[in-house]
Amino acid sequence: MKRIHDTLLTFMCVTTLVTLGSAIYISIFWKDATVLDVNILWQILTTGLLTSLGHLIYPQKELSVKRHLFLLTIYYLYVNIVVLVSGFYYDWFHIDQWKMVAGMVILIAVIYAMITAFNVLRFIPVVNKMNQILKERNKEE
Amino acid sequence: MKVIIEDLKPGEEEYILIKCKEMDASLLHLINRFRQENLKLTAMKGGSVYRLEPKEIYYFESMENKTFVYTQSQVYETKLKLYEIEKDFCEGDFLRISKSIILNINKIKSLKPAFSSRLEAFLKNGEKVIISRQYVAKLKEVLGL
Repeated sequence: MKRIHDTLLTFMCVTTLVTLGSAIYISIFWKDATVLDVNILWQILTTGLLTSLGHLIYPQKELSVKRHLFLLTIYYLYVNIVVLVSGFYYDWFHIDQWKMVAGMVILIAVIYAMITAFNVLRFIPVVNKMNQILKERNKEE
Repeated sequence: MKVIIEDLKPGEEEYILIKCKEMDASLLHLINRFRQENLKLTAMKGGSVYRLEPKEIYYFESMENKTFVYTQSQVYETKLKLYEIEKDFCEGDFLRISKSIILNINKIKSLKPAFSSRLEAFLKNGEKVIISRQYVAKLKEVLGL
């Protein structure tokens, strides 16, 4: 249940940031386009879902730091492959336009870093609350 | 809650009687703490045998088929396996925090987020232990979150 919850949370985060990223990308590389096809929204959702499912490669059991870093790298490569293949399939960029491809790769890196940061930051208030409880317990001892 | 303390009759054994409408988690925790007060652990150090009280113990660690007991400044060894310690101690103030460590949560001074959704627990004696991701939820539950 927790795995489904974590994957859904990742999906929501990914969709929000990808929508923002798409807005930036389209504004830079497709600024001359006057009409956007409504299919772009389904494309964003589908790609977001596929990238979020990659989160399931993390097992429930204890991981060493080395193993975690390895899985993090695999997940990052997976995200890049999914987004670049989707981008090629949906014509988000032209493969012969290196600036468009580079822009996409940079965008993936930025969004990935933001999601990783979000996962760390959302944990901080919980830890602060736990420290508060521990402080009160230590006073009682 | 009323607390009544009575004198013992001659020959009578000490006991605690709890009257309650229903057994909830906090009451169960209190009972386990009382049980743990009478629990002593036999441990060895330098060829000598010691009897340690749970409140002296910071954490247990299993390494290379041996189980070590850490107090404020000493390290002992016990013949008990970690799963046996978990059975006796983990209903009270002790909690399994990784595959190889059982920690006395009363000895935690503070917590800090660590890589990979783990927690670093800074202990009152200055030591630091890592709480694995899958045991963080249990710690939150024990702290009432």
